[in-house]
Order: sequence, then C-alpha cells, then structure tokens
Amino acid sequence: MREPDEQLHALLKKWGEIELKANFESNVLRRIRFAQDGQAERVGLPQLLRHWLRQPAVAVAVVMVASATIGSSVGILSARGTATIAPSELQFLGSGTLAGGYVRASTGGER
Amino acid sequence: MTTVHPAPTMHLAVDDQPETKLVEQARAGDEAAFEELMRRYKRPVLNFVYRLLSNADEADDVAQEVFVRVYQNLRDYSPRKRFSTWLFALARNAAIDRLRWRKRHPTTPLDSAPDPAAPTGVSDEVNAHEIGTRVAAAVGSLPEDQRTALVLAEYQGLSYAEIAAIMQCSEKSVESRLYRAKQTLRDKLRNLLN
Repeated sequence: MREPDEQLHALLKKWGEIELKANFESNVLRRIRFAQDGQAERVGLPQLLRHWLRQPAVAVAVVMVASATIGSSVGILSARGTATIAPSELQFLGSGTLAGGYVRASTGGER
Repeated sequence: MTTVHPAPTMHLAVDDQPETKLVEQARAGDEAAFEELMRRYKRPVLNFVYRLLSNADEADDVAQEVFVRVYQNLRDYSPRKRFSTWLFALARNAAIDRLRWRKRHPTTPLDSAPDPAAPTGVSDEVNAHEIGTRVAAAVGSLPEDQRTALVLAEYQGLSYAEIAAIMQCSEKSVESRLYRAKQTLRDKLRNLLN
C-alpha cells in the first residue's frame, strides 16, 4: 500500500510544471519529415532501381539491352542446335569440295 | 525562457475506447490520429521528461524526440499494452539516453542547483519558486530508477502496477524504490518539512 505522507506530497507539488512551447507540435512534425527525408536518402538497391526505372530514357535503354541480350542468347542457342544437325543434312556434299571437306572435318571424318 | 507554474494534479484521463481507435488509425498511417494522440499526451510527456532531466530546454527537445520515436515505432506497439504505458516507457528511455549523453559531454551549468539540504533562513522569506528549485534539486539527486518511480507516482498519479509496467519490474520493486526515494527526500528536504 502507498505510504501516506501528505507533508512530503504537498512539498513535492511545489515543484511546478513547465508550459509547452507554442511550436511544440509543428517542431515534432518537422522532425518527422526531416527523419523521413533522411531515410529516403539512405535508399537500398531495390529502391534505387525502382527510382531509375521510372525515368523513361533509362527504362527504354534497359528494355533495349534486355531485348538484345535475350535475342543474342536465343540466337546462340539455336545456332548450336543447327550445328548439331548440320552434318547429317549436309552429307550430300561431295568429299572433294570445300564444303564437303568442312563437314567432314567438323564431324570428325564420319564419312 | 520557460515559465514555471504550480503543478496541478495530473492524471492520464483518457477514454480508452476512442484512444484504442486513435492508436489503430495512427498505426495505419492516419496523421490526424497521430496528431490527436500527441495533443493528448504532449503535456504529461513533457513534464515527465522535465522532472527526470531537471532542465526545461532539454525536456522540450527530448519530448519532441519521444513523439518522433512514437511515430516511427507505432507498428511495434502491441495493443495488448496500454498506449500510455508504451509511451511513458519510450519517454523514459529517451530521457535515459539524454542522461547518458550528458555523462559523455559534461558541461558547466550556467546556474548551479542549490543544495536542497542547505538552511533556508527565515522560512517566510523563502518564496515558492525557491522551494520548487530545492525540491527539483532533491529529486534530481535521486538515482534514475528511484526518480522515475517517484515522478510517475507523485506527479503523474500512476498506480504501482502501471509504474511496474513502464519500468518493466515488479510492483514490489516499485514500492521499494519509492520507499527509498521518499526516505532520501525527507532527509534532504527536512528544513522545508518543518
């Protein structure tokens, strides 16, 4: 139970309160905005990418580079596929010709 | 310059139901709800911090910082706790941070606090402001845990259970801290206690 000590209690109350400054709330809100701006400056890579991709020129450049990369990758893969079936399809070439010699050389002289 | 007025009895008289709703709205990003919470609690928080720091300008700065922390950490607040408990715990931590900062950056005070045990001379000549200053010095000389318990009990009018929740200790511990704080104050303020 709280010990009754009215005399001490009354004396403690002589230490008055302080008044709020008029700009207290506006100062708090300003500090919150300031902290938010500070956080915005310390963005990570995902936020940075999102920001840059919103720029039209950067977005177009990224799409072009991506298209070129995908296109050339697909091209290389399909070229490899073609090369593997080429020997059987080119066996009609004569062995004395330049093209026939190339086919024989590239297939390890199967013919 | 900050004006000092006699302390009225202060209670955290807030209607819990609307407050819970306000907190929920503030957590959802409603700035008007946050501002209403700040309007309700700015005075108790400012004066709580003031009595822990014994410096009005620092109290103003730290109380502002408390509300910035509230805004930034509202998502961490669990509605199972009373909002005021969470808020005063944040305020206490902010005040402790400032006290630690003071220790790392010691400065000479412009006007030194009077010795609360010093003779007051003729009691009639001691005006209310001087008594207040002596009480402030005596409370300020208490260890932080005793001071916090005393301020929450005597100036904020909180129960032992609420103080224990804020200070994250048992009610027994609160009782013991208050007992020791009052013993010290009775000794230091004996000249003012007749």
